Amino acid sequence: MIDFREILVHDCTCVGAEVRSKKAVLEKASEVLVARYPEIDARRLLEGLLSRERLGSTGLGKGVAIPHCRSTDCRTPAACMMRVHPIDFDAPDDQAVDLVFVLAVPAQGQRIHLEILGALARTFDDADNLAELRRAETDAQLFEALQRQLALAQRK
Amino acid sequence: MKSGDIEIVNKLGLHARAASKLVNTTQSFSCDVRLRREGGDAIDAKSIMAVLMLEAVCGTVLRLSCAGDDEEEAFAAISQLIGDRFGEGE
Repeated sequence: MIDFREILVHDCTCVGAEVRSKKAVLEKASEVLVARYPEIDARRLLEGLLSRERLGSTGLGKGVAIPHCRSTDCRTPAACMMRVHPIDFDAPDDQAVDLVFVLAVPAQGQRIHLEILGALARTFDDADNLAELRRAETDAQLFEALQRQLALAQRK
Repeated sequence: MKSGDIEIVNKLGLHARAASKLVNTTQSFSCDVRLRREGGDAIDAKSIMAVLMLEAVCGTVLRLSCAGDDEEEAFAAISQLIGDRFGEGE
């Protein structure tokens, strides 16, 4: 079982960032991640996330997106969770996105990458979970709700 | 119903972009499309979230089942996409 508390820390969880575009979300997430993980190069991370989006949107539908990229700078997966004003994300269901889980993963480690994606999908596929994440009023509430959901999603 | 086993052969497995390509293909057919790991539940292969839940690494064998008017065409197209490694080259 993946311990998401080692992947997503409270400092990298944020409600209501003032961003109005997909690019701005990724810029903000890169800033937040680099502030917590100085070993990550901000420009390289942003370029990686943007390149990945150019290959196809990481929008999953239901207002959720999971921008991600490989990073030679990080030794373990590192994530940033943001809730933003709904923005266009070229999602498959054309719905605007307000829940964004940004993930940088080491160059190696395909199995853990797929396990992380699986746990995220199980969490974000659940309408009650999404409603709870959208109700969170503070960074701390969003963080705790998501961590609880991710832990539960892996026990199913 | 048309069904059979298919092995995931691309190095990266069913990661997000491969899942997205798979769902684009399954959604282009009207038939019901399901994927199942051995011993697991069948999932709706038209849902990207459901496909990601399979956590299928390279070497995973999945049971593909298509049921509906265009099941033969759907089965062939999905088999080809997976066999072609989603165009990833490795």
